[in-house]
Amino acid sequence: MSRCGKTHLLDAAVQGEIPDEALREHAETCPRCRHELHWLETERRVFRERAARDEVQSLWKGVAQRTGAEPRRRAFNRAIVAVAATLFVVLGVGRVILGAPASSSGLDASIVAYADDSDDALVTENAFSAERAELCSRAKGIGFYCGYVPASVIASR
Amino acid sequence: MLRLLRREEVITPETPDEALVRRAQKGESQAFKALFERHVLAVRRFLRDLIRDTDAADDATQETFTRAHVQLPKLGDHDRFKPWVFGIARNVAFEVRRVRQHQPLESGDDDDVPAAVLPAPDPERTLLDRELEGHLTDALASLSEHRRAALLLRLDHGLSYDDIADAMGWTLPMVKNEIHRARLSLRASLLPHLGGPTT
Repeated sequence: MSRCGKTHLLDAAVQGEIPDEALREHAETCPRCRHELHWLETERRVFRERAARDEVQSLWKGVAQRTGAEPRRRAFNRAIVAVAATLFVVLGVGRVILGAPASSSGLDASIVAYADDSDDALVTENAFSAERAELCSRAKGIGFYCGYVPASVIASR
Repeated sequence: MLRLLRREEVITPETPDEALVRRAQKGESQAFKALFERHVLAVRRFLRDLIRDTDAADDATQETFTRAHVQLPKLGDHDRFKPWVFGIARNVAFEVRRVRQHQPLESGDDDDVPAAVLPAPDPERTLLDRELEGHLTDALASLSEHRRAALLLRLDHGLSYDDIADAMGWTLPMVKNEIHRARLSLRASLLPHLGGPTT
């Protein structure tokens, strides 16, 4: 491409610093200026899109905070805890129904001791007596209290 | 009281920087806040491009505007807030880099400037997607910090060559030369990702 005395003006024209109409007309017939203009406009477009995206991203952070991305995560955590607690309860009840023997393995000794000493109903699975198991297996209805509170429920309190 | 209320109402997106600077210099905090809101995103992006660490760039942005607030009374050219604050940002960025790395600034391995005439990009490929943005970031990172700063001030932030000379502390011919070289490097890096020659 041959040299052209107007090519160096194109940058200022694209930036809006000088009038660009005459230069754009000239670029249509000048290969060198057309080529340069093409690059300048590409650069301008790419950087503008990049800047616009940056603003969108930063604004989105604010929107995400306001729309509660965090609470949704908390709800998920709560669901996990609820499922785990339900599993504990179901396993505990299943053990009672099947009449599984109590075992103190893996249980804190102080909890077992407290359960053994206590006359109250706050006892652990391991301290759950056969009499109470019988009582609970027969009992039905809302509000029934058989004196058994699983350790998992105690822990959740 | 009425005067204060009227002042607050007057600040709009169309209020020129010059007026805001004058008002901020008189102690009107809302005017400085308006200047902050108007320029903070561009300054943060500039710092992120220079420092290449989002958290550090956020800190540097705050430092830049803190310094701007302190030094604002000294700003004589009220219509030159943008180049002035970018000059502060550029100094902060270089200080951050120096402290973080305990190394001299990158000397710049981009002196092998490609031939002045490169093929033109394919217009259909220039839509900035994630991939191209990544290539652009890499291409910018390959420039020396000073050259990158000058190029960004021109292409991304639209400063005039005179304003860039002020912000960088360079002469006008040096600004033109550095930006020209940076531009050629950038184009050479981006060309493979922008399609083939279409001249």
